[in-house]
Amino acid sequence: MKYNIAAFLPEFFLLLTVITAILAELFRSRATPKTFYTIAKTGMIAAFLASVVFYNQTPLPGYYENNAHITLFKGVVYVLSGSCMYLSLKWFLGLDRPSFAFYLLVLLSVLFLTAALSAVNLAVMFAFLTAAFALNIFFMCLDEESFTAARRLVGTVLAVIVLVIFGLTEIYMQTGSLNFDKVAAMYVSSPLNGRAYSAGAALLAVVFLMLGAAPFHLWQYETAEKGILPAVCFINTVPVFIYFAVLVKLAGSLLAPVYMTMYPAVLGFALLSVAVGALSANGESNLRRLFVCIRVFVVGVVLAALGKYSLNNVFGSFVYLLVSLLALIGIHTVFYGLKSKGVYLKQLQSISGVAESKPYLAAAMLFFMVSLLGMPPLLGFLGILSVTNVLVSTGAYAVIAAVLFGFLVMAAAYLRVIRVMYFDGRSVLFDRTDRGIYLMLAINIILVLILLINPRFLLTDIEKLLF
Amino acid sequence: MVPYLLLITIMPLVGMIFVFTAKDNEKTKGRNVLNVAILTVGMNLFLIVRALNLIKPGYGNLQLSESYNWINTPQINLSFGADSFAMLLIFGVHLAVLIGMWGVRNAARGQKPRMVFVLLFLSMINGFFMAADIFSFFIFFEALLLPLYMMVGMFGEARRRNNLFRFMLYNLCGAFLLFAAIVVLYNHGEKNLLLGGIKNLHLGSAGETAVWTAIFIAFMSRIPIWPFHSWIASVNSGIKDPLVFISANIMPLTGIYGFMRFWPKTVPDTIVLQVAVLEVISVITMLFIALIAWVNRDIRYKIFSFASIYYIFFLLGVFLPTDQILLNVGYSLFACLLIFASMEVLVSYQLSEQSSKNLSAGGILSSMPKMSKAFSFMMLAGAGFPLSAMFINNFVIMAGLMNYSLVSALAAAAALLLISVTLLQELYRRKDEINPVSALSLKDKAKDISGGDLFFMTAVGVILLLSLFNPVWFMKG
Repeated sequence: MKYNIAAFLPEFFLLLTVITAILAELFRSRATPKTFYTIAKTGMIAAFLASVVFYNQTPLPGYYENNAHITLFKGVVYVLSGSCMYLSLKWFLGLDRPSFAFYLLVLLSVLFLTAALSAVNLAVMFAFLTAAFALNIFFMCLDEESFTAARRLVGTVLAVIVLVIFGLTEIYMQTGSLNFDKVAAMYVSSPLNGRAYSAGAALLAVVFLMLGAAPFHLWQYETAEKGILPAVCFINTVPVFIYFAVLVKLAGSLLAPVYMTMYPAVLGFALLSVAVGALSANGESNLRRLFVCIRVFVVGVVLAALGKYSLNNVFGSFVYLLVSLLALIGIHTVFYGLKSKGVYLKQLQSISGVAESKPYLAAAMLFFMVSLLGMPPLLGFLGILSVTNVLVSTGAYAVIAAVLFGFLVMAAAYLRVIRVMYFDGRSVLFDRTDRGIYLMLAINIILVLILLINPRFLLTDIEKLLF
Repeated sequence: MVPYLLLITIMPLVGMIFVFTAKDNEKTKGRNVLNVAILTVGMNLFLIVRALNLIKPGYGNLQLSESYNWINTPQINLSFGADSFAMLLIFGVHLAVLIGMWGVRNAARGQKPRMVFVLLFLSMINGFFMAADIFSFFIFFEALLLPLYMMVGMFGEARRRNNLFRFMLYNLCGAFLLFAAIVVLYNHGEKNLLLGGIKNLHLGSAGETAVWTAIFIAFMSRIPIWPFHSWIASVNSGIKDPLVFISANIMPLTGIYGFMRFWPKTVPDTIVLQVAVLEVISVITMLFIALIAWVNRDIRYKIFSFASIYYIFFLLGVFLPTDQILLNVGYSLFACLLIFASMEVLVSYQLSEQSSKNLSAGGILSSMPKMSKAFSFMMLAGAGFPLSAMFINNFVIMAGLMNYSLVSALAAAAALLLISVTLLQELYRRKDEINPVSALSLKDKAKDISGGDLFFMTAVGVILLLSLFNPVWFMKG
């Protein structure tokens, strides 16, 4: 029993950190971004350590449980959030802006997302997921420029709420409970009727929307373009892992029959995402929107690799997602270093010739983009290899052809960015880059190199944790 | 045992890191990075010669095998192995790059990125030539593209960047096709399939056609053959930097080498058509390029044509159903690489003199006696005179071709003859004294190359001459 309560420690630490941050904002007269960063960092480290120590303890059986698989995803989220927070500190210090709201939102977001992952009750899971998604509205309210994006996000969040309520109500009316065991039993034992199917499909659609798969991807563009850089960096990278984990949970056990019936539609979403991501990336001149396109593309490939769901498929798609997000975080880190006269650069043309004056930043960007392209010997190759290998083993040759063609179209977009950075002349004078940015880039690149030289950490050890 | 092959692959990467972090400013003017790069290539040459002396001469029997487990799921090893053919190519490529480095030693800007990417290119091409299994082969095959794209993009002609972009996409398309074919082969055969084992796989008629067609297109994408030759020509002949020009023109070698390692000697029925089509297209392309080179005034285009025509000629040799001729192809390729690299460096110098002093090409060599000697040697060797290994070995390859298909051989011979005439014509134009040199003031005359340059070119000439008498003079026995 003692252990069971202790298993709530990660969430407790996060909650405590939220309260501490609020108290600091209220009562500390000189609370700077460093103050909030230190508080948030401490809470995040404590939560991470606690979740590792109690990785397989279940605090509330029937509602909330942990296992190695869940802890892996939580660990990744803590680490990624920590790096996002560190980078954002540089941004807030540089612009001398208040940071309390941002750190509070990050902490709450991480709390909700990790809680959703541990939930074994559909209502609890979707309540937390929806709450975390709704926080995006507040992320958009951090800046006056992004108010319009916030208003539009309200509509998306309302759509999510309606779908969630509809799905949960329908399932509850048929099973009398929203516990995973009972819901799974209902879907497996009884033939799939129209109401059960539409309820399951509604919940899956919610996850696709949160993941940003086409055609539910539009909300991301304005968020990325108008939001402040720290918010964009966080929203674009960290929650994706949790949404993916939730999708795996739903597709693999809870809503497996619905997912299997929906498979042609899922494949359609996947290929549409690949096509939309790749084609729109080629026509995009705004860097942040461009990287939303990349995210849509990545999600498309992940869904295509997930296929009809098998453990191999999950593993292949997870590896691809992980290496892609590492590269995306690297690219966002580079964005923190691209500044001219105090303004962070957003347009592709504004970074022309960056290789001349910022060779290390340009080299890092090149490194991550080539990795995203799946070009060997960089880490992205392992991602594309995992995906292609699972697709070949399932005989999905047409899907491979479509995905590889998507990669080729995407390559055109990456080459365009490389061309602007390296081949074109310099158009602006870049500001001095903070050493912390270089430090984060070095850490990211070293991590990637370690995984590259010894991919067993990524492939074998994680496979053991997953299965 | 010393892992020579791994060291030969890694050494340029290590050098690249040193170059990347080396100080390069107004004061050093790129000297630091150039010295580090030359030192790296020199050290690697030492390792290559050592490895060459450890292997038995011959083609096909991969020796000094090394295998490193990289991934367990799916199981992928990085396997290396080399025969004297592969090592000969690596040796030739290193010498060509060294000649290129000599050519850019006084470059005013961009020495650091140039050396970083050329060393990366060198590392990848070494891995490519020594890859012993399908995945290692693919990894290096695709990885070569990035340094090349970066070098040509940064130091090539700005007006031709759209062509470079298309060329790169076309090559990536080929690489993705090869990737798909390799993953299919991997899933159908034993894991870590060695290159020699591909021909023994049976995938069924449809599978075989699909896989071999993908492989065919992948390797074709690297060779300046119709219908995509104009992109390669436009990109490569527009490069004004000798080192980048040499690197870019080494690229087609990867396509030929790919065919050499993958293509089965006994061609399956499913791909007989592709081989026939390739043969016809190759011969037509050779003639076509030779004709354009003949009428084109741009000397860089002529050098590009020289290299391309010989590459296609060697490709025809590769398709002959005997392994014996492949060693002759290797010997000839070695000499060809050195000749076109030297030609490019010398031409680059002449063009810079022409442009800075507003001189015409006609008779420019008459005021440059040292340059004239070096350039004449290289042009004559390129034209097929008995000055290098190309002389005898080209005859052997041609004899093999004639034995196989007389029409193709005659057409190929016509193309070779035409490009030789083109080179001699250009040499004559540059040596012919239209305006007496004595009539020009000293500042208007083209400045000759230094004694050091002549010494360097003499050393290259000696290597070429040695290759005429014994193509593997640097090997024991």
